[in-house]
Amino acid sequence: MDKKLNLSQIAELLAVKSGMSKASSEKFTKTFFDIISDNTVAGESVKIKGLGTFKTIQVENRESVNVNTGERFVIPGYRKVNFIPDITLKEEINKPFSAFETLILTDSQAAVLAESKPELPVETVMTVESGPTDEHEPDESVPSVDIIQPKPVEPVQPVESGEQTAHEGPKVREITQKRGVRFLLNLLLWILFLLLILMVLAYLFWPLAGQKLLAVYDNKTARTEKVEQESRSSLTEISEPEPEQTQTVIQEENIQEREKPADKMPLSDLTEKEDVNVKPESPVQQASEPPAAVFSSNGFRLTTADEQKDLGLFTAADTVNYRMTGTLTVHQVKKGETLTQISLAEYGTKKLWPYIAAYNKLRDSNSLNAGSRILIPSLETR
Amino acid sequence: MNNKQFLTELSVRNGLSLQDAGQKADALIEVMKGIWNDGDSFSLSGFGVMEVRKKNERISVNPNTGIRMLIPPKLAVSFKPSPLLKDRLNATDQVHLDMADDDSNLND
Repeated sequence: MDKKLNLSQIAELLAVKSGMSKASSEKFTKTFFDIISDNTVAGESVKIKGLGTFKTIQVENRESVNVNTGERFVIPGYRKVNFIPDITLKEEINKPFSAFETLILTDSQAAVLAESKPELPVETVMTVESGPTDEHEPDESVPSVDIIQPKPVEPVQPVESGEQTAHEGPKVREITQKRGVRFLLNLLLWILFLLLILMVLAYLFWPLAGQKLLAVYDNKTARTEKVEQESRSSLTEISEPEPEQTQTVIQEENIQEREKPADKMPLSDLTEKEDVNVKPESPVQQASEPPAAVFSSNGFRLTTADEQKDLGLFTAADTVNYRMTGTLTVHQVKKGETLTQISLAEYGTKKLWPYIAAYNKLRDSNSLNAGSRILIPSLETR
Repeated sequence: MNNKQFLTELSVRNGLSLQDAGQKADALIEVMKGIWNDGDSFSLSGFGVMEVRKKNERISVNPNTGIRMLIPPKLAVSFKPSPLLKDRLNATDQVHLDMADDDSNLND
């Protein structure tokens, strides 16, 4: 095994096999390979039955780039010899492995094979990702539920959740730095997200709960102050929970004060704010109001606009609201025209196209033919 | 150069009859197969090394159909030309370039 034979050894074997003298067999072997190399050097391919083909191949010049300097340079072309074994030789050599056959793999098998190779970055990434998101879910549900059914306790609870999240941050950071950073980023995103939800919900539910809250607020201010002080002293990172606190206060205040022009007084020091909080409400509102008012009113405007648009068009297109009473006109379909475009042209809204489809008994809205005439039903509200 | 041309040249160089040269050549090929079957290789100065190599199994994808296939491992004879032969191939470039062109024309 793994011996490397030379000319004389081959000649010896050949002498035994063919009964030639050793000298002549050596000469024969030598000429055998000399002819091959001579002819390949001359650029001719040599085909030998039972062995294979030796072929000269011209490799063209090609351009390459130096990885270090980025310089382009030409790799000069050269010639090489290829050996392509005969089919009979191939089969004979491959006999030990001939039992194997090419398998067609299903996707799952391919995945298993790919996984068995020692690269598992995907898995590690997944575990890192799943951790933080799982931990966050409860955080999200707590405040949002509380806001939906506003209670007098409301101002207190978001503060608590803020505390929790702030403590989780450092804990995770101890485990691994990378994971910690990612976790904090996630956390920040979630908090921003929660803030937005809180604001929108507060705005939407204001007419229901606002009066109650207002009535309760006067009694509660004292308590919330305490909580604020406590949380402030206990927290090492103040930046994260702080917006939540102010925001809860804001929810109650901002609507009241919304119409007033917003003072540009910044949210400066905490100490200053504490002082302010002890006094009756107005300075606090002014200090904390501007960002909140802009934020929440933005959100509100957006949602209502969307809702109005959606609702209006939706009810217009609702089959319950209209009845087809007869043919209004006949429409000739132009090339490239769709049902929605026809609807827009005939009714002034895209959303009524189902009536056209139904009236013409079109099974498939794509089956419109250019040049064909379709009937436009006249509609009547019910 | 086909098999017949090869054998005639072999017979001329060794002073053998064509038939004889054919038999001896077959015997030599048998010897070579014997060497490879034993897992050995042989090398000749001025020619190169011929040995059996194991090619690992691999997953290949048909680019047209996207079907994945597991290509089994296999044993194949590989030829590695000696530095001497390489030098001879590239020594007189101009002449051989012409001849290579002729060759490719023939193949066409």
